[in-house]
Amino acid sequence: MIELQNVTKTYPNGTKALKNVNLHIDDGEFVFIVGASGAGKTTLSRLLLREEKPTSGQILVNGFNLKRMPEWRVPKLRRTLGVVFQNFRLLPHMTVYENVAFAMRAVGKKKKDIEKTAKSMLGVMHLDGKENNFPDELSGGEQQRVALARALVNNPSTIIADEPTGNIDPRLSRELMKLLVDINESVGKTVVVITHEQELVDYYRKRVVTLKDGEIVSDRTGGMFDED
Amino acid sequence: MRIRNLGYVFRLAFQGIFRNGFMSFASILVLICCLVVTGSTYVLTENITYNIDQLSGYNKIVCFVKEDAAEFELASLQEKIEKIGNVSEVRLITKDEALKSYEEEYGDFSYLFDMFEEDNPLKDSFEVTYKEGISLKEINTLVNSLENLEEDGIVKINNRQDITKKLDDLKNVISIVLTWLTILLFVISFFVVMNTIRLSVFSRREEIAIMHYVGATRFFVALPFLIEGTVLGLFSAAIAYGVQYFLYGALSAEVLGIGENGFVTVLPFEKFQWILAIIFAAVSVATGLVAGFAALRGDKKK
Repeated sequence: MIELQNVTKTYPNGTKALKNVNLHIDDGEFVFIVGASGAGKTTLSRLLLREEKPTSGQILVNGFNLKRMPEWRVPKLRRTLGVVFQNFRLLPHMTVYENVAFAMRAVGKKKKDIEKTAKSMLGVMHLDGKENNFPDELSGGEQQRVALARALVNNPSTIIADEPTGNIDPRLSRELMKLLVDINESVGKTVVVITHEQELVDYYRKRVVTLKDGEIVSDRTGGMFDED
Repeated sequence: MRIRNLGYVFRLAFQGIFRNGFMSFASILVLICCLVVTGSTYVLTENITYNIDQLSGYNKIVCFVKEDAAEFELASLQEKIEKIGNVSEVRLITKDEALKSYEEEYGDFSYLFDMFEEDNPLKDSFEVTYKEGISLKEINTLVNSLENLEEDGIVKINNRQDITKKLDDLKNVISIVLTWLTILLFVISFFVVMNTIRLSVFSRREEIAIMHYVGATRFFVALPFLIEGTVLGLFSAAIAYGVQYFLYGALSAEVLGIGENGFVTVLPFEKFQWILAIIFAAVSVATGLVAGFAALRGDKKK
């Protein structure tokens, strides 16, 4: 569950990125956060990942109060979140298997569990036989599935995808979005997709929260520009 | 952080060392220099202190008397010396006794002194023993009193306290110069090691960012870099210890060449081996760790 109560974020240079934002996302929901450049989407994503603290207001993510949380608890919060980045950010010197296993190793999982879970996750993502390939030997679609496998391998309850379709073609964008929708519908994980791509948002008819100049200007289910 | 991850973090640490091979080599080299200078400062001051202590234990002053001093003059002079404060014993050494003593000291080469038996160039002297434990100031007063007996026939005073003082001054100068050199080298070592680790951090920045996002603890992320600093430090310490051992052996052999004449005593390396090992290990590990922490400070914001 994600809850923002009267959240305001002002940067040291005086920029008010978010103004008195209230938002509630239930477990298992699929939500698009949309808005033009500078609307406050990235700030919202950074707040949810606890890369930033709100200036005022409360943020609750999966049972963690992000305003009061001490630094040492941040890794615990992040283990409940799977992050999919723009450009996927796969590590080029690691194979497909290592890219996925690396996420488990970083949180101290057992070697036996890493082997079992990482291989099974690659199977779920239809990447069998690609374990020993390096990212640059994969197609765009395969790369995004590796990125998703890495985000899911530690079994987080929430997936946050920050502009995941930013630099890929429309076909790959739809493929990735279909995977995210499948994950949401089949295993009930909460999915928050931060994007500015109207076409995708309209196609999936999910809940859409629109930000403009740091404020939520609409929160409804359906397309971005549907009539009320 | 669990024990089972230690193998992984050690692997990352060694990858960092080899990935930035040149900088690692530079770090090791400068740390070795720093440790050898530190070690040399220590062994040198220990040796000088020991020799000063040896000299301080020799509580005798030798006063040479003019060549034509008559027996009654010598007796009067001895009486005057005995009356000076802090003097415990005064012994007359005639020039014949002095020559005999040299002959005995030089054993197989005593024939060298045969030529002086007819015309002995040595002087009569008084060996003045002063009370043990008196201060340098009191010794100086005593020497001044002896110098005042010039008119009574004393022509030269040999006082080992002069050498002691000179050695003490030398020790102080060496300590100051080498301590500053050590500090300078430590500062250089610190920055070189820090930059080596920074390079490792930089080359792994994307990996570190992902680790933070998936929930790795700060300690888990930092540990490979701290191990990298520690390994660089320990490796340098081991080499520096070897260098110090051979350097000391070679230099003490040189000094012992003089030492055989009884001027200088060189302490055996075994006397310092443990303390040096501890100093080297502690100093190098501390440098590596502190430099590692400093290098990671930039990562803290991520």
